[in-house]
This record gives sequence, structure tokens and C-alpha cells, in this order.
Amino acid sequence: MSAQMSGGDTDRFVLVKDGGFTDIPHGEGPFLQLSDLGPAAALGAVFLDLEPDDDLADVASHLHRIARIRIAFPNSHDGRGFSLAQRLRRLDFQGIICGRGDLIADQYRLALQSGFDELEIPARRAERQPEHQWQAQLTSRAAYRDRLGLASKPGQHHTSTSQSPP
Amino acid sequence: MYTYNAFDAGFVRDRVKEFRDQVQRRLDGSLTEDEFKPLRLRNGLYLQLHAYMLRVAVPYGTLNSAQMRQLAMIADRWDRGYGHFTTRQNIQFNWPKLADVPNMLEALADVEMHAIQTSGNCVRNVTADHFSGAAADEIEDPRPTAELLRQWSTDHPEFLYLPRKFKIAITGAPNDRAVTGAHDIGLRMMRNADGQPGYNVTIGGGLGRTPMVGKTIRAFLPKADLLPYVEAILHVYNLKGRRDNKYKARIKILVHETGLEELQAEIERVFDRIRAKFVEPDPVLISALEQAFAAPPFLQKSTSTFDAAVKANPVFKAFVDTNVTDHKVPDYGILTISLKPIGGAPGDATSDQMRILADLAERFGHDELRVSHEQNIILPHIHKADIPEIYEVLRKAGLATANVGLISDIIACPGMDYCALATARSIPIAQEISRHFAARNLERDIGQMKIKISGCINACGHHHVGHIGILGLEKAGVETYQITLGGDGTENTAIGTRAGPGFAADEIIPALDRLMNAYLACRLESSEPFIETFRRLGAAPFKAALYPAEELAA
Repeated sequence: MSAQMSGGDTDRFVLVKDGGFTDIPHGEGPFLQLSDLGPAAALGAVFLDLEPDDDLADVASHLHRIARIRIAFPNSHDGRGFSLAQRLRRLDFQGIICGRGDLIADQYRLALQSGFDELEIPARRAERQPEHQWQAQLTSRAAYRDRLGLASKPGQHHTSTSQSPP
Repeated sequence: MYTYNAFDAGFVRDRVKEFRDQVQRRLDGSLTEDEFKPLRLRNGLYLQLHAYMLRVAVPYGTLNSAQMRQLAMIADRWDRGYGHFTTRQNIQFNWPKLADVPNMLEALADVEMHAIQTSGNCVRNVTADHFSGAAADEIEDPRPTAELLRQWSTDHPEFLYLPRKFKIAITGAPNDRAVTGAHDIGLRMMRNADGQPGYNVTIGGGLGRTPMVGKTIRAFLPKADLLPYVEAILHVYNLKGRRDNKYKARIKILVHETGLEELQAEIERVFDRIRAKFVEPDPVLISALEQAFAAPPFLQKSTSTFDAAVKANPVFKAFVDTNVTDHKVPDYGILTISLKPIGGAPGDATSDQMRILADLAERFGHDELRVSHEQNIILPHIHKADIPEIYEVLRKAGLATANVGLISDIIACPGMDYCALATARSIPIAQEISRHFAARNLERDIGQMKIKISGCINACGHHHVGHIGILGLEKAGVETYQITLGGDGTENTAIGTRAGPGFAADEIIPALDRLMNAYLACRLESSEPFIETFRRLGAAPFKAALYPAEELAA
């Protein structure tokens, strides 16, 4: 575990990746909002922040130049982010999708199955729900969508349950 | 019926293990109550007024004798010796201890059962016509579709944190016995002009505080498109459904506020995208599903003992008249066993009764039982020759109440006797009504009558679709009961309209008496049921009967 856990720091986030905690990489960004995307936007790799009520119809034509999308989870009962990630993968988005916000360990598996690669969670959450609880979510287990053949298709992004995130 | 293979068995075991771990993490503080709540709800565990309540799934209402016996065992070992069958074809145990729940789930897994997604903001147990596979009017058995939907929706990663609960019902017959019009998605099996199988799809039906009848979003959906289409509906709902107010979060409000056409266009767009990438489920799996629900080997024997008993014994004939429905095989009958004994709590069965029902199913009924949304138990495939013997067993067990479809066959929610949300008692009202009309021997004269009682505005007792609906509310600390008239839960789905001011608990019976007297006085003939008289005459004569003083004043 590389991330330092400091109790008082309420604004700090921890990256959950491959079932482990790590520091959020520096130097990425800046993250744009949906409204910043437009024909005049800078060329090159773009980092995008999405709110749960953003309309993805405006994003489709930009997806090829977006490297990383962060989808906000305002509270642990709000499942819109899972559908946004699914929709992005259906639009053949190949970059990194990261969920950021009020997520619990039990949602890590759902996130991976919905098309997320990683999560950013508040440091306080990481203290209360330590690394092994997130790691446990990677354990392969029976999934009806795999069984029905609905969850994986050649060429599609990683949506299979048994597969670990890249 | 569907039996688990290694996959299903492994899935439910994994799930029990996961829930044990979640309970442990709740106890050690890793999970807050707010975080734990959706996890326990998705495993059927509610916090009720007095205790936890465990709601066990009976997928599309179908179960076998071993499963029914296990429910009896669970009732004896971890509850108080009885269970309550619900309007969504499930069974609830009202008194489990939290620490026992993982063991109860383990006992369910032993007989291929579970409590998964019987609660919470996810796709709930898919309900179906309780006469599936047996009804004479059926186009196709809806249960292979219901099972496919169960598998598709179970632990679907995208749809476990929906704005609100999501209910799907399916029927394979033109006579809708599954109340599909009152569900978030209603599916009615049909064939198009070319004879292709498919579904009429409605969305946005629901009862609760804003009752609405489902609207057709696809007049004909080919069978192969079902999963991508349902996935498209759920996807749009998950993103667009309101999350600011739990009472406005069901898809019916989204339909109402967005407008059907706009929402339909959006769903079709998403559907096109999903279908483009959709891999159809393995055909071997699909055909195994169809096979699982193949008809049992029907017996051929004489029905003469049955015919003789009907002629000789008027009490037996009365039982047959109300509790036996035509089967697709003429020598068979569909036997409904009423869980509405006169003066009893609707839908309750003791463990002894469950074991008797299991024995009958095993001995006479091709090992199959059904739970109906009307809270009765059904033996779907009974040879008529066996009905006299079954009747005797039922009679001795107090299960031969001959009132299916009559005024005492009441749907009632648990109400204030159990439920934390209830504002009034439901069960005692149902008990009084059934005692009153049975004592006056009026049940058969009144004929077909559906009374449905809810103990609060959330309408779990389906009062909106009762011919007579009774809604219990609390006004200034006193229970008051509103009466609605003209509701209908069949293919002619209608929401009942409120008759007028509410009645106190002790005024309900006299009010119903006046209502029934008015009906008996103005029906055209004894075969015209209340709901048809109501449709013919409108509410006026019935309102006048309910509120005679106002009639005098007018």
C-alpha cells in the first residue's frame, strides 16, 4: 500500500486500481468539464470530468481524443455512473474510466463490470474500508450475465467479471 | 419447472457467503447503516415495525414440494411457525433475528431458493400469471421468459442502484391475471400477423401514491429483442429517473413528466445501440429454459368419481365452483387453495399447512405449487378424479374455504400489525369483512368481487385496482378508511375512484352493507357482477348508498 493515510485530510482521495490503493497520479489534467469541449478545444489528449446528469450525446465526437474520464458519484445510492460508463463503452471509448466520489467497496465489482477501470475514493473511506475489502471484490465469482453470454464480446472493452482491470 | 444447475447453485452459495461478510462488515463498522441498507435489502432483509422481516423470492410464483417443506422448516426453526404470502408471489417471515438470517439463506440455497432482489432499488422478482402452463386460454407459457429475465436482472451491475424499485410482470394469456398494467414494465405475450411470437410492452404502470396504468411503448416486440429492449428501458430510467424525491422516482413519473413519445424515442435510440452489440444468449441455454417448463405427463383416467361427487354433495360442488378453474387439458383442473379463511389473516399459512400443501402437490399435482398475487396457493395440474380426495384433506386442515374470487377473498397488506410505514390496520378490517358477509351467507349471492385493502398510501394491498378498494389512513390520531370504486387489475386495467370522505373503522362494515345492498338492488340479473353493474351505471348510485345523509340533503 503506497498511499499514506492521514486521518485529518478530508479532501484527499486515494486511487483504487487492480484491487489495491495507490496515490492519484500527478501531472494529469487539467480535467475539463463537458461544456469546455467544443470545436475550438485544444488538440491532444483531454481529461474530462463528467457529472451524473451530463448528456453524453455531446461527447461522442470527442471520445477519440479523450485519455481519461472521471465520473462523479455524489452519494453511494446514486447508480447513474454505472450507466454512463456502460454507455461510454458502447460508444467504443477506449480510454480510462474512473469513478470518483462516494463509493463503497461492494460497488467496486459493479464498477469494473460496468466498464470502469479504477476508482478515486475519499481517504477517510479508504481508512474505514481498508484495501483488502476492495481486493476481495476482484475474486472471480459466478455472474449471470457472463453465463448468458451478455457480458463479453470479442473486441468489446473489458466487461467480464473474471477479468481484472488493465 | 426450472431446476438449478451447477452455475445457479454456485451463485446462490456465493451470495450467502457474500452476505455473511457484509453483515460482519456492518458489525465491525466498515459499513455504515446507510451503506449497508441497500445491501441487506437486495438480500430481502427489511427492518419492520417490531423486528426484521425476510422476504424470500418465489420466482414467478412457482415452487415444488421440497421447497414448500423447507419454507415450513424455516418458519418453525427461525420464525414463529408461519409465513405470509405476498402480492408479488413471495413469502415473508416476520420475526427473524439478524444473526439467523445467513443461516436461513443457506437453508433456502439447499432447496434452490434465495431472497435476492426481493427488495431494494433494483429489478425485483419477476411475477407471472399464476396459471401459467395450465390455463385453457394461454397463448404461451410466460415462465421461460420470466426465468430469462430473472437471470438477466440478477446482480446486473448497471441496475443495482436505480432511482427506485423496478417491477416486471408477464402474462402469456389474453386474460391478464398478472396485473401487468400496474407494473413498471408489463409484458403480454402475443403473436403478430405472421405468427411470430413476441410481446406487447407497457411501461410506467404502478400503484402507490400516484397510481397509473401502464402505457404501451411497443405494440409488438419480437421475442429475440426482449433483453436488449428491457436493458434500454432500464438504462434510460437509471440515468433520467428522478432522484430528488423518492415518491417521484418510479418510472411512471418519468413517463408522465417526459411524455411517452419523447421517452419512447430515447429508449429506441438506446435500444438500437445496445442491439448492435448484443450477443444473443446461447440457444442451448434458451432451449433448456423452454424445456424446463414443459408440461408434465398428464394422466388419463376416468373423472366419474368427480362428476358423482359434484352431483351428490352441494358443499363439494360449491368448492369446485369457486376454487377450480378450467385447465387446458379437459380432465384436469387448476385448484386454488384459499389462504383467506373466514376471519383469518389473508395470505398467512402455518408450517403445518405448508407441509399439507406440499404433500398434496407431491401426491396429486406433478410436484408443483404456485403462489398467486392474490395471496392464495395453487395446485396447477390436478386430475379431476383426485379432487374429491384432495378436498377431504383440505377440509380437515382448515384449507377448504370455498371463496376464491368472492367478497372474502381479500388482498390485504400487513398493515399496522407489522409494517413500519402503515398508517392504519389492514388485516383486522379484512377479517371483519369476511366474517360479516360469510355470517350473513351473502358471499355467493354477491358473486365475483375483489376487495383490496392497503394500510397506507403506498398501496401494497393494491386497493387502486380493487372493485372496492379500501385505503387506511391516519387522521389526527384516528384510523380512517377511504373507499375507492371501480378499480380493475385485469386486461381492462382501471384505477378506482374515491367515493367520498373516509369512514371510521367501525363504520366500514355498515358502509359496505349499504354498498352491497345497492348493488343487489340494481344489478340486471344475478350473473351481472358488481364491476359490470358499476361500469353500466357509474358511481352515482353507489355513492348515494355510501353517503345517504348527503343524498337527503341534496
